[in-house]
Amino acid sequence: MGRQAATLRGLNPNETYIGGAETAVGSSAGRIEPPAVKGQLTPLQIVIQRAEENANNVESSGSPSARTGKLGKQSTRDQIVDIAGKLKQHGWQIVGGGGELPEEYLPGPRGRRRGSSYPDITATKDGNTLRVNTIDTRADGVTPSTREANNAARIRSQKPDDTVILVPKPK
Amino acid sequence: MKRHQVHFFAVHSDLMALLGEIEKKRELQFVKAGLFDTPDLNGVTSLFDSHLGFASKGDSNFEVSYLVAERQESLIPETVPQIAGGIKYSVSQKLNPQTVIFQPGGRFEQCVISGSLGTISEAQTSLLLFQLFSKEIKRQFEKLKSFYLGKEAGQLLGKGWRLTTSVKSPQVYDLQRD
Repeated sequence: MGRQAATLRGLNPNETYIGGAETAVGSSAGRIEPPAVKGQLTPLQIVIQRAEENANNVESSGSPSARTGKLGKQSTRDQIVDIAGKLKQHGWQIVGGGGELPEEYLPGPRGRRRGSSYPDITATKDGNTLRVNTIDTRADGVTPSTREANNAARIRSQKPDDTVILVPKPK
Repeated sequence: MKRHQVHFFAVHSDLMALLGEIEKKRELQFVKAGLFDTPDLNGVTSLFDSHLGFASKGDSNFEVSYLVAERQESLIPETVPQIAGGIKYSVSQKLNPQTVIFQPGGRFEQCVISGSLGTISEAQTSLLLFQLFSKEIKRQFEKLKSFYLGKEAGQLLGKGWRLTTSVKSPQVYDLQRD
């Protein structure tokens, strides 16, 4: 978790990629708008802040397993709820997932189930749509696994005008 | 989470027929879901009005959605202090597990925007409501790929209208017959 936070901390919040071109995480360049109002955070900054807070909580209370009891699904669900809560505090409305509503359904080509997506969180604010997916990473803790990278690419192709942010799942 | 979702395309006449049957069987209330400036829920006991089946923005994420509950249930908004100051109120299933979420979608320009029914709750009342709605959707609507299609929405598809989650989505993801 500490590495996750450190990795996220190293980002320029106005950049839309985490990692190199091949390990792109985020939306197409320029989709995340810089703060319109002084003191207002971008979606990426909100998510980074939340991830850092989570990392600090885990570090101060021992191993993730000691804190969550059940590794995996429950910790990921908690992470999703945390991020959604933070987004709401910044005025984003959760319209899918986030532990509040059914996840948004993005159909595959010609409306098929095959090639469809269910982002973990979909949020809207001022006419903008943001999607957050929690992802499994490679050993470096940053690079999305091939499957997750493909999922992200698919969501970007389904909704090219919107923002996608990928957050590593808690280890 | 995904198993309790049904996605459909429907316009005014399709939704009137659907809700007509459902509202006959159960006394319900419909409360708008979202993030609001006041804690007032302003629920209604029926969705029958002239706006039903007309999308206002052309994107399912910006269309109205409702928490549906049995009429005697008390629904609760979640208080959300804002970092920028002030308080907003979130209405979702988080504090209201006895509900389902219903988004009608509908006609927008030469498109039909998708609607959905779903729940993330395992509460018995929620699952019963989900079953009530989904059974009627499956009875009245035609299954086409991953969607259910109302009769008039199906006719509009035949006339070349787009059936989509958003007018801004690439057309390759629109519902199409093979």
